[in-house]
Amino acid sequence: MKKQVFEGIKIADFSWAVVGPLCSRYLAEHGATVVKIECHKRLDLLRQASPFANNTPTPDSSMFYGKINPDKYCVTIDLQHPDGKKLAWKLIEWSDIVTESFSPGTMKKWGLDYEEVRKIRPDIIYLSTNMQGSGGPHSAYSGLGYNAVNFSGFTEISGWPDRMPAAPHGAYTDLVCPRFAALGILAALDYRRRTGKGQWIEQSQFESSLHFLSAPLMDYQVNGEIVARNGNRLPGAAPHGAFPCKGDDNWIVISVLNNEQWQNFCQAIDNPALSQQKEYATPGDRKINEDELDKLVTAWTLKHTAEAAETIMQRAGVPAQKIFKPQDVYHDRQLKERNYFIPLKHPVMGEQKFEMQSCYILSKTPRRIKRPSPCLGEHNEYVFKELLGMTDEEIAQHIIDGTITTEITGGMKVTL
Amino acid sequence: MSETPLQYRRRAPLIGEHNNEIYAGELGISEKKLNLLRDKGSI
Repeated sequence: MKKQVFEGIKIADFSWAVVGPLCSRYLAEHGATVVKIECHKRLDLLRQASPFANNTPTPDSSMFYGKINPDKYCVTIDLQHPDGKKLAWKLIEWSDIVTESFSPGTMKKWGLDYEEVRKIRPDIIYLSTNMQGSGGPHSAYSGLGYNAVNFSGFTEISGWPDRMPAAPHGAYTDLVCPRFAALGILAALDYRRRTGKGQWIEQSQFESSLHFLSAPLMDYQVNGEIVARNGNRLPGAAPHGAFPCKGDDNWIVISVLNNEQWQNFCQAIDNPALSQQKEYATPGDRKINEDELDKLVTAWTLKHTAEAAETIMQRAGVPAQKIFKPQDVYHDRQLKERNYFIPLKHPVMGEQKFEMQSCYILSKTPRRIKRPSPCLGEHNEYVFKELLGMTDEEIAQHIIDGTITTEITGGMKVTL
Repeated sequence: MSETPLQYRRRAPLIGEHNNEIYAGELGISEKKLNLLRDKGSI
């Protein structure tokens, strides 16, 4: 097998939930050795998050955790205990990169923060990712992406003008932030290769998310305009939105962006007279009469299945797309052809399909998933013995004194 | 990034603001040739 770009890069991954683990996932998929440090006393949130394989919640059967953590090793350490911290230090000394996603101050409380680590390892690359950064009046707030979508401003602009704000799907900021964190790590690796120096990458998830709201922010900054919730409508384009089709809850998105597409649309619905109507002559006219126009469009789409409507529109040169449901995506021919889902056998969940994280394929060193997500503490022996060179006796002592954790004490709560 | 913090040195450029700086300064195109390119509308 060919070598991968990050082969030989070692990561001690103290992060949990989504942002940190998704970031280290990129590096794992391209060959890095990632050891995820967890604990039986306080389970990673995602081990307690649905969906669970076979609808059976156990710490090892969450596919939410599974999707984010394949190709990683998992050890379990009690970081509250001084001897547990010694184990953490062994991993830090072994690693090139340390990642953590706790609230600011947590790693410092354990004496494992960047300032402490750099004293021993000045070349370490250390990522801290948290809600609002590690300094400033709001840095101490802990939280999840479900909170960040609100103070970032996504919720305010999502939904319809006459209805309450609607949060975007899921903990949206969690899915945005790991990409920036991974990019920061790449830059730091390059800098270290050139200078031998490590550094601290400190990520505010608030700031990372604002990249995607620049237009509304600028509108306010430049003109004092407040962008309002506008459903599926787009300034200057009509018809533009999701329209119901034949059957139960089937939809098509139609997006007419200019006059040529409007002419095509009128041909597609076999209503050439419509293209001559002055109420709908220009984009401006169509925006003024958009409510009436949407009724006309709906009357047509309701007579067709989403697939048929899509074919008719696309053939006529009108941007249109059936709205996919999860099963449509899962069985999509394009994804299948590109081997997007990788089937792997997991010791608890059985065969599951794991998704590629990289949305790109490097020609010489393609993305790869070799192992499924780890069970809790699955690699204690492998990591402490094979990677860190500890003896069986040492490992046994840590298990006896509870600093390598083996038993769930706090119970398993399904949280999400 | 603690060792290499980002820095904003310039605002976004005006359109064509750096024609001379790049064509003459970076690429070493002569004034005479630049005038010719301007006359032809290539710049």
